[in-house]
Amino acid sequence: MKPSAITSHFKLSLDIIYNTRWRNFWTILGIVIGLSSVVTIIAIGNGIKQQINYQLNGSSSQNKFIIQPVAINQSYSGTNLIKSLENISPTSSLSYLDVDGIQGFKNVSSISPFSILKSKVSGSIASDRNGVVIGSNQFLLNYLNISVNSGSFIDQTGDPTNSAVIGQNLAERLFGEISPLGATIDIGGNSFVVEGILNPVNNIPFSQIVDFNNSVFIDYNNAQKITSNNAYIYQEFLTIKDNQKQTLSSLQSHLNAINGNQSNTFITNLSEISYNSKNTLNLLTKLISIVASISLIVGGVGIMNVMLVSVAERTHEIGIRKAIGATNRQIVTQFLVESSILSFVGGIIGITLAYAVDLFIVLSTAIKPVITWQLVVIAGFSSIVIGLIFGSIPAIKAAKKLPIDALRSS
Amino acid sequence: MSLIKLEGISKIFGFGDASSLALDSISLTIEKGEFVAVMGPSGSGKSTLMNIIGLLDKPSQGSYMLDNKYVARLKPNQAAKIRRDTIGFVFQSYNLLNRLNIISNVSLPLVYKGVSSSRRLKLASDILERVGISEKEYFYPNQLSGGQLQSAAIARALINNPKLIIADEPTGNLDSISSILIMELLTEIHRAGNTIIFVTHNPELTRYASRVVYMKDGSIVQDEITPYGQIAKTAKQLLKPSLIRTEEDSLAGVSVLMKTIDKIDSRKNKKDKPKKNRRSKK
Repeated sequence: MKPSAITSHFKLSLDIIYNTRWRNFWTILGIVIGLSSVVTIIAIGNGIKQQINYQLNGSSSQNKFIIQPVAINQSYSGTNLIKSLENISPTSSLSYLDVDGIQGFKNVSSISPFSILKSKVSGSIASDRNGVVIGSNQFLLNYLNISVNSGSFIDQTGDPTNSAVIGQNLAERLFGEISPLGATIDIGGNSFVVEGILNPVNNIPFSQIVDFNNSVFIDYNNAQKITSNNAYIYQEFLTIKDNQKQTLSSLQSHLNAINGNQSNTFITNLSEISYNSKNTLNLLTKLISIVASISLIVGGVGIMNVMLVSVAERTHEIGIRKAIGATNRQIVTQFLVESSILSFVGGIIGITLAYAVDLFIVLSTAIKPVITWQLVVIAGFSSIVIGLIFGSIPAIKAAKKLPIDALRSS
Repeated sequence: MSLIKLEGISKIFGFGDASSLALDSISLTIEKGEFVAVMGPSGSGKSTLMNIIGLLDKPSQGSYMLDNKYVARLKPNQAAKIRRDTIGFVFQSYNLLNRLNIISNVSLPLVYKGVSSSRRLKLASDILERVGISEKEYFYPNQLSGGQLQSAAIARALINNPKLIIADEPTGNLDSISSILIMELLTEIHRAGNTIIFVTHNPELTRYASRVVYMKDGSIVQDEITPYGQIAKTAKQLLKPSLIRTEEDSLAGVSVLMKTIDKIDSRKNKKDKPKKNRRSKK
């Protein structure tokens, strides 16, 4: 088909579509809604993935590891840490000795114990009966990629003072308008002094990390004190500098040796942990996209509908075109151009709508959807393809009429 | 070699008890350069015949040879190409597309031929000038009078330089003055060397034609050459021999003329008709 013919069909189709624009608007609404939903869902998935990456990795994630008493595959996969912890019996084989011992290792940047307690936490204006208390050390801040808004984090290992750092939401809930710095916070009957408040932390769905915005951080030794040495370390966060394989294997043997030659501690790279949640996320995104795609099919059917009507209305015109020499293929091309323009316009509006919806999501929730240019291109392309597929049946129907029969209809 | 050769063409509409015989085994030959009028009352089958000649419809039976090719049972796409390149159709109700302006309508056959946009516009413009409505190029069909619309339709029929122009009651929707103008236009086109077949049930219009075919109830009842046609026929016969040349003749020059005169003489003797006046004019 010569390009000049396609451009003339193009111009004519634009004119026709414009003239029947109200009818067409309702028709392409299906495509608009379908495409915008699919794009939005994939964008949300992308955004969450990016947030997971950022939250867990930040920079140099390949050097971050988690030491755990159970293999990651056998335990929780992508669900809330606290919930899953309640199911694991507290026979952790990690202890503070590991932390001490490992800290001195060559090539180890930092190691932090991660212990979680549930306790009643009280501030000056309110209290939380199910407060989350995290016992760790000063390296936790860097590892988790979180930062302090005001005040300071736990200073040094084995900090004797009873300082506590609290998350933003907890600060607001327990202390209200007053700045909590220097105020007393009661943890399970023990008095602590608030020495720092964290910046807001983006909480990611499907993440294993607890909600830091509602937690209290204290030094691990203090956690041991207030629980009479029952502060179990569920995992340890490890950062190493270089030379991964060697360092890891020597660490692993060290841990095995400590635990009576049993290999029931596991060192897992951080990216592998997020792998599980990413897997779940991917699966979920795909599932929901498929459901949303059904509305795309409905939109396509709508286009087919309006094209059939258009063809029926223009039977006489088709007859004239055939009489002056249009082949079947040229008639089909004419109507395919029309239907693909229709669906493409629907696609553009749908993508724009997706941008608008995503803006709304960013403003009102913690999720930041990400629309990549590849997504836009694929969405635009699919909208044209939908127009071609669903417009082909009416187009072929249009072409099949004998010129004389087509001319007879008024 | 005739342009159109119909043999035993029949067309049946409908099935079973509701069937009707529109054309009853028609045979017709039309030569290049004729201006044929097909006349008859309503229902005589003239439009059906035009549709078959114009490849818009297929006959139920019979053979149709157009320009030495059998075209009656072509595949739709091949038929479309012949309609585009060889045949120009003019309809009673003009059949212009209302969404397009005049010049776009006229250049539409070129679109289907694949001609580039600028060239299309130029060709269409020229043709519109020839038929006399070039000032209405960018107007839309709803802004033109009947006569102008039919002129535009004729321009569209001409644009691909067809060998045959078919006009189905071209003046049917026009007033008397416009009718005359259109018929004059068609005559002009015929004089330029085109073959035209037109259908009419207005006997007055037959005086434009060189040959009239009368139809009734699906058959041809009479087929006569009009006086205008007679002149044309004779002129052709005279001209034909001088067109035959060999290489020798081209070099010889005068001897060609001598040979021609000899040939005419011998033909005259065969026919036994005195044509001395014409010869002396030569």
